Amino acid sequence: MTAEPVVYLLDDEPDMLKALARLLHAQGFQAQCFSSAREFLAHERPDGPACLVLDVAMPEIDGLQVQERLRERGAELPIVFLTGHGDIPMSVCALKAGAEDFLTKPVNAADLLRAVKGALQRASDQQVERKEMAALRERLASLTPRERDVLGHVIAGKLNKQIAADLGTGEQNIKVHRGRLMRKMGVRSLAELVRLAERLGIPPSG
Amino acid sequence: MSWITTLYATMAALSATLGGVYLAAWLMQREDGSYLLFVALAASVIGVAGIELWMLRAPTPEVYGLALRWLHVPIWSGISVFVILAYLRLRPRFPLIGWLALGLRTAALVPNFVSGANLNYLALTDLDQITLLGEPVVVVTGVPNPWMLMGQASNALLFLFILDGSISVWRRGEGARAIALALGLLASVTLSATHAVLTFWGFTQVPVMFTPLLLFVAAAMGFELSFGLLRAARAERDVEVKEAALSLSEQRLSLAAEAADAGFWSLDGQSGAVWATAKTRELFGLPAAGDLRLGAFLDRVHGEDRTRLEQLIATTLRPNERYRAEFRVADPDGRVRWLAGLGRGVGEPEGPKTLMGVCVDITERRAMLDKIHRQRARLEQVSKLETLAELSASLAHELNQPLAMILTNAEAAQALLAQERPDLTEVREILADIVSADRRAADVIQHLRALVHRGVPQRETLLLEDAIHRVLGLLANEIDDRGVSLALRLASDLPSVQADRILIEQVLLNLLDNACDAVADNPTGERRVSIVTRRQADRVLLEVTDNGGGLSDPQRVFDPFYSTKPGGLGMGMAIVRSIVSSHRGQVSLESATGQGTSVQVSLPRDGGTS
Repeated sequence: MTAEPVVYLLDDEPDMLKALARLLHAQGFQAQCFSSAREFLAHERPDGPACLVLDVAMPEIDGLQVQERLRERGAELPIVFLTGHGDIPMSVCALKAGAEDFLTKPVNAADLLRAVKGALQRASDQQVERKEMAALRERLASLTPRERDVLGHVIAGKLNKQIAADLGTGEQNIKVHRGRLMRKMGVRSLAELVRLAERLGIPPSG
Repeated sequence: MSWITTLYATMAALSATLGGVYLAAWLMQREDGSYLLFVALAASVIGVAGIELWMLRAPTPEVYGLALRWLHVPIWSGISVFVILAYLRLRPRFPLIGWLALGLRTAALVPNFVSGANLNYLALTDLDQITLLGEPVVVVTGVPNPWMLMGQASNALLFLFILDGSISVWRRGEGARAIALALGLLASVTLSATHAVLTFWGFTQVPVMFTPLLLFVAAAMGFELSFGLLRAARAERDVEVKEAALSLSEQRLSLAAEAADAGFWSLDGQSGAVWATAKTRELFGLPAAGDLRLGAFLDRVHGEDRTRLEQLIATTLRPNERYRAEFRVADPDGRVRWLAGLGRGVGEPEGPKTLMGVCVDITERRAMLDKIHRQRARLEQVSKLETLAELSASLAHELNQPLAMILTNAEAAQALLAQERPDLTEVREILADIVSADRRAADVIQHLRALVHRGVPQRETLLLEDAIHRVLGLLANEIDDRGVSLALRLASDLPSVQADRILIEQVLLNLLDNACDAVADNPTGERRVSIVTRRQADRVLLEVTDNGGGLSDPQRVFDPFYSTKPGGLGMGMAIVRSIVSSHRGQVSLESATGQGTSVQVSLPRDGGTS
């Protein structure tokens, strides 16, 4: 983990904002307060694990709209919703749209901390995932076009002889390509390679 | 036959005819004495005509004298009638003149029969025959009797009397009938008196012939008769016209009655007999034909309304009094309907009294009104609940914010204090914020109290019985429709309570509603609900009991939002308890599955200490 996780707090009620910030600070979290959706959306977020504790009922842009805007931007930010009154349709809506949790005020510290921890865990998981994916894509990019072709046939479960026939070359050649691409992709078994290809979204050929 | 005989015979016959007609008229209508006068007049004319015919044919002066003496009898009777007729019909200003004339004429009968040959002659000397209109008639000469002046003075007075009467008639501008009579009498009297003076004093040698002069009187009599006939004919035509109008107005009336679906009736105050249209009989469930009396109608009226209606009818049974009443009528098959009746007394203040009335069926209207009433009451209840829901929602929201803040701050403080070196400045700030949030919450509650305070119950002296009847009035149809039989056992000596009428009615409404719902699953005829009131020391007890399925968890029914009914709001009993407590009362409930439920409400009596 490279950066300190940040909890963003967004609530139009300044006193509530302050109380939440105090609670999170006291629990050792780094909290950053915003009292309007506009202010938060304009803020440049640094890279690193973060989550948002979001009040649903706000003037101008409400909590659900903030969630919608973030999704539009492709920002992966886990959200913990807070609401004054448990409104089931609204919570269903929020959870469907990927909310981490939906808590009703007054929220007790244990619930809030659990939700925030969960959200941050997800955020850091997402970050790890993102990094791994970036590395994988780099490896994939290092393959030659021939190796790329062979990869497609290998993950389709074909034998070297079949691949050689399909690509119109010798079985020995295929064997060399295969060993090289396995090495480049950093895998030792065919099963590993298939899993990687799946994560990268490479379709089997033929 | 000669002209003279013909003339006299005609006069006599005419008079006899007129006299006969008047006699017949008098026999049919005895109260009109003037008919009899005309009969007497006709008889007098006949008498005069007969005796004069005798005189005109007298063989000797003695016979002539005797005939003339007797002539004064019908003359006297004729003049009597003249005077009375003139007095009655012409109404002269000086009636004394007439009575004087009659007195003189009556008195003159004495010298007529006592002195000389008759009133006119002391003695008759000569008797001649002359030819008049081709017939020999007698003319006499004799010594005039000075007593004759009595008769002629009477004539003169009579003339004055009738003249006075005629002038009076003229002045009063009376109709043709009086004028004809006046002219007839005046002409006859004038001519006869003149004729008498000229003849009897020997100024002319003419036969005594009064009869033709009386033609005018006969004419007046005839006119009078024709006038009467005319009047009768006109009256008959009037009756026909009125009957036609009456039948038209009857048709209009029946059309109106039909359109209004109304029944008409009239009551003879003396006999108690009632005439009623078919619709009225139908409305009261009475047979379509046959005689009816008031009692038959009253028997059909609902027991609770009967006395009131009877009194109303009794007080309205005088001219121009009116009544308007709504009452229930029970069919022979027990169906109860509401009728509205409107009646008016007619007749003269002292005469026979009649009550006329109209009635219409207002059952549907009443039912509709009841329904509207009930719906309105329901609506009020629902809106109250909605207000309550809104109120609690806003209350929850207002209190939630500070409560949430307090909790979060307090937990933050706990977390801070759990650290090795707690930041006490921060903790102090947190506590300050907690205090201010708490104040905010207190303000909200204060605000709410002020709000509730405005709707504080209106206390008034209330009889539970009245409230029960009002609520039953609202629910009567519903209870009926749901086949629930309701038993009321209300204590007669129940003290009043100090309470808000609307709220207590709400309590009753909720309890009855629950009871009716509870028995809904019982078979028809087995759905029983009872309302009992009792006095218990300083308290008034109300008990609503049902024989429904009972409750499995009796104590929970007072919890808000707890309901045993599908779709029930679960506020009914909570409201009951809150209202009863606000009246310093208690509510308790006993129930067992399968054994029904009984809710007991106790309220402090008016002026009581508890």
